[in-house]
Amino acid sequence: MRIRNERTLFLLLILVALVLQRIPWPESAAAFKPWFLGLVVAYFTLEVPGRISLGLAFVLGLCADLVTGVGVLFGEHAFRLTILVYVLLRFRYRLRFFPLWQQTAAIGAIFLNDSVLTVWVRMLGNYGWPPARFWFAPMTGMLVWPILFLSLDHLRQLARVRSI
Amino acid sequence: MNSPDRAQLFAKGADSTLALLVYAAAAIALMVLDRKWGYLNDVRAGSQSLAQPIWALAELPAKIADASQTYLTDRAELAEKLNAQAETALRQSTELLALRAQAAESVRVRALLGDEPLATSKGLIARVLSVDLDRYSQRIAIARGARDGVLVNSVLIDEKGLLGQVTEVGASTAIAILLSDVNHRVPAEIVRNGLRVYVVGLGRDAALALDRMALNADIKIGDQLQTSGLGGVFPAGLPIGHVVSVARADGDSFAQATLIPAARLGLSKLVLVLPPRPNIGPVFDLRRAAPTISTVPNTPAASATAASR
Repeated sequence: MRIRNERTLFLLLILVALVLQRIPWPESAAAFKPWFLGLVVAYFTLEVPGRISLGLAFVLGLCADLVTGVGVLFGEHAFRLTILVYVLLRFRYRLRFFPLWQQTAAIGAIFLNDSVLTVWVRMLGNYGWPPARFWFAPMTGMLVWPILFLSLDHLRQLARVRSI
Repeated sequence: MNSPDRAQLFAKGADSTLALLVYAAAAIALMVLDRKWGYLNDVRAGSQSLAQPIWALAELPAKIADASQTYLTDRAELAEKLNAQAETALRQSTELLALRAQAAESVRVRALLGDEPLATSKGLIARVLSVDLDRYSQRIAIARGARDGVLVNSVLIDEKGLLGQVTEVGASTAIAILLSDVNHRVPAEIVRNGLRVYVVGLGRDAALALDRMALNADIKIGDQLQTSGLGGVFPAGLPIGHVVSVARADGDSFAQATLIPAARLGLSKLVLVLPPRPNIGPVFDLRRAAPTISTVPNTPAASATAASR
C-alpha cells in the first residue's frame, strides 16, 4: 500500500516511534535505546519545512509523556522536544547542507544536549544523578541517524512526497 | 518557519525564541505541578485508555518473544526440574522402601515375641480366635478386648499390611471387620503417584477392588496401594495391596481394578492391634454387626462375645 499523503506518513512514523519507545529492551541493552520520537521529529524538522513547529513539538511531547506514563515527569518530553526542535530550526539551514557524516556528528551533539537537559530537569525534580550508561542513548541516536535519514528519505520518495 | 525565505542561513530569531520560552515555561510549569503537587495524576489516569492501544502494540513483540522464550527456556528448565525431582523421588522412594522394610521387620519381630503386648510399642499383639469369611461378612475375632485397651476403630495389621478395623469390643475379645468385607472401604492412595482411591472389599479374602475410579485414572498393574491417612481411622502408609488387573470396558462409567491384599486376610494367626487415631468417632456405621462369627468352641472369651450378640 502506498501512502499518498505525507501527513499520514508523518503521523504513522510518530506512532511507530511512540510504540518503539515503549517496547522494552533487554536489561543489558536498555540504556542504548535511542530516543525514537526525537529522531523522527528531528528528521521532519530538518527535511520537511513547516511540518514541525514549536507548538506541535510541545503537543507531541505531551503525547509522549502520556504514553510513557509513570517514571517521567509530566511535561518532560514536551520540554525536551520543544528545545530539540528549537535548536534544529535554528541551525536547520546549516545542518541541511552538511554532508551526512557531519550532520550525524551535529545530531549527536544535539542529542547529547538533550540528555544534559534531561539530567538537569531530573536533578531539579530531585531524581538524582543518572547512572553512567544514561549517556549511551544519545550516542545510539547518533549512530542510528544516518540509517534513519536515508530510510526516511526513501520512504518519503515512495510516498511521493516531494521535499523542498 | 513557514516563511519561504530560504536565503537566510539562520532561522528568524525573535519570535521563535519567544515561542520557545513560552513552551519551555509551560513544560516546566507542568513538571513542577506534577512533581510538587501531583495534580496531573488524574490527567494521566484519564489518558491511560488513550495510551492503552500504543502500550498494547508495544507489548505485542515482547509478548511473542516472551512466549517463545518461555517455551524454549521452559523446556530446558523443566527438564532440569524434572531430573531433580526424579532424583528426589528416587531417593525418597528408596528411603521409603527401606523404612517399610524396617517397619515390616519390626512387626515381624513383634510377632516373633509372641502373644505378649509390647510395653514399648503402641501396638498390641493379638491372637486370632476365629475367622468368619463368607460372601457378606468378612470378620475375625481376636483375643484382646477392652481390658487390654482395644477400642472400636482400633486398626489391625499383620506383618504384611493392613487387615481391618475393630468394630466391637468385648472385655477380652474384639471383633474386627476385614478389608475384604463388602461393607468396608479404605481411603487409599497409589504409592507411585499419590492418586487417592477407595479400596473396597469383594466378599472374598483373596481380592479387593478399587471403587469408582475414573476411566482415565493413572493406575497400572503392579501399583502398590497404601492407606492415605484420610478418613481419620487408618494411619497413613500402611500397605494394602497391589493391583493385579485393570479393566476399562467400553460403556462402563468407571475403571475396574482388582487388588491382591498385602496382608493375609483370612490366614493370619497373629495380628497387631494399633490404637485408633485420637479424637475421632466411629467412621463406619455398621448396623449389621457380624452375624455369623464362628467361634472357637474352647475359648470362653470368644463364646462370651458371640453370646453377647
